[in-house]
Amino acid sequence: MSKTLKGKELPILVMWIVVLIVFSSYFFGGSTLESAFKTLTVDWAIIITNIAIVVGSLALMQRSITLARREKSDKVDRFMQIWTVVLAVILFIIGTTLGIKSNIYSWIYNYILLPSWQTVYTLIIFFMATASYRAYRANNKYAVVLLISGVLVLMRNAPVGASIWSGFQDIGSWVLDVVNLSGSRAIMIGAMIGAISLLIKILTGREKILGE
Amino acid sequence: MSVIVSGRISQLLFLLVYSLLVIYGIYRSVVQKKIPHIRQPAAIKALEEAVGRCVEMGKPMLFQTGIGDVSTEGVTHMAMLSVLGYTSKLAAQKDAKFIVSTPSPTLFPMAEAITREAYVAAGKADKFSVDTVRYLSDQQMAYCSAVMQLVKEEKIAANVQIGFFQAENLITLEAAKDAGAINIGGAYRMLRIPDMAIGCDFFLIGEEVFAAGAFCSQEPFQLGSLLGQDMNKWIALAIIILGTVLTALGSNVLIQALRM
Repeated sequence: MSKTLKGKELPILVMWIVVLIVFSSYFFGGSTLESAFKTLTVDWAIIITNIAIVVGSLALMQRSITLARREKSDKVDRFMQIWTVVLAVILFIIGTTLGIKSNIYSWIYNYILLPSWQTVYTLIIFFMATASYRAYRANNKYAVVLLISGVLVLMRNAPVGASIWSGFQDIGSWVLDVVNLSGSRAIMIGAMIGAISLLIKILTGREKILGE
Repeated sequence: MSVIVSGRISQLLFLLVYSLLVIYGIYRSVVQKKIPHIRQPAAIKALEEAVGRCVEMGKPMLFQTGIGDVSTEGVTHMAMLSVLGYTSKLAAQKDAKFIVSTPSPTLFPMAEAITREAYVAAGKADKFSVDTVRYLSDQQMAYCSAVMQLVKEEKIAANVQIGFFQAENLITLEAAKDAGAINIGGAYRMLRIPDMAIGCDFFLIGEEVFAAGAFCSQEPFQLGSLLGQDMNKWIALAIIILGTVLTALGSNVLIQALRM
């Protein structure tokens, strides 16, 4: 019994039950199946996610304690580890006692968290520029096609494009709506077929994530 | 009254046909021993080269699990975990320093268990430490900052990010590139494929992400499933061509049939 619990048989059995309920509910309907589907996707999903969060938190705490105990971790490291935990606890206490709509909590959110978040987010623009610079170097025929289509779409979206030539709107839209859409749909069809195949492999216990 | 919900008959039919073809592909490969020859994507070959590069340079390899919980985008996470198992085993076998970073508290214990198991399977259980799998933050931009710091501090030589990513995708790819690392990625979402295309040296597109486990293992069972997938793609292509022709001729028979 304990061997079965530790092995991959039990997770596979649970997955079979879940998949059968979800698929039956979707294809055959019926109040009983729909009720079972809601119980699975709402109630049990929340329960399992929360259990996973608890397991993750415990593992994280164990890791932090082990790291803090290490002799080689310097004072700054230790200070930062302890300080961030203390800060998190303070924020938790403020949030739970005064409420997340309280002035102090809102102030922390609006003037510390949000600006930090936005600062990092805006990095994407700079990284887009550096990455595009590398990708758009026309060093082979495929890169030339990418460069031309990229410029056409850029000119469609940038206000200056319409000022230069009104035809950029039509050509850019054609690239997006015909070439891009047909390619993306092919990728999506392939991806969904791949997902079905992966599901079969998981249900038969042959996918490596379930152990050897 | 129909047993099957109206409008879902064709979907059920497709699901059954697709599943049966995958099963047939597996049967042909495992039972009939007609193992298909599969071209291995460059990204999978690159994983091994990346591990070798890390060993030669004496620098670590970073594997990012992707964002979100197991309850959302579960299939993508399963595909990612499959590649994680393979990559961590390679790293353990070749004694490369391996770091896994995750922004998800639910993926963290799974990633830790799989990496630990890979180290044990490679006979290098002693090399696995609490530092190997790191939970950084579930806040997207805080996670980005943490990865950027990790990349600079550890001077990583290879960065792998295959799975479900969002806005943090390009930031972490570029941070790794800036540190001199090679990037190996994989995405099935259309939003993220351009990021991967411009930020990665090698990457998996669409279904390759889900088939990555099969490419890594090269087992007859797994390769057979890829054959089934290919047969399904031919069917999809045939339906698309048939639909195009029928619609051009003014018939909506196929559209009506698909809406059954």
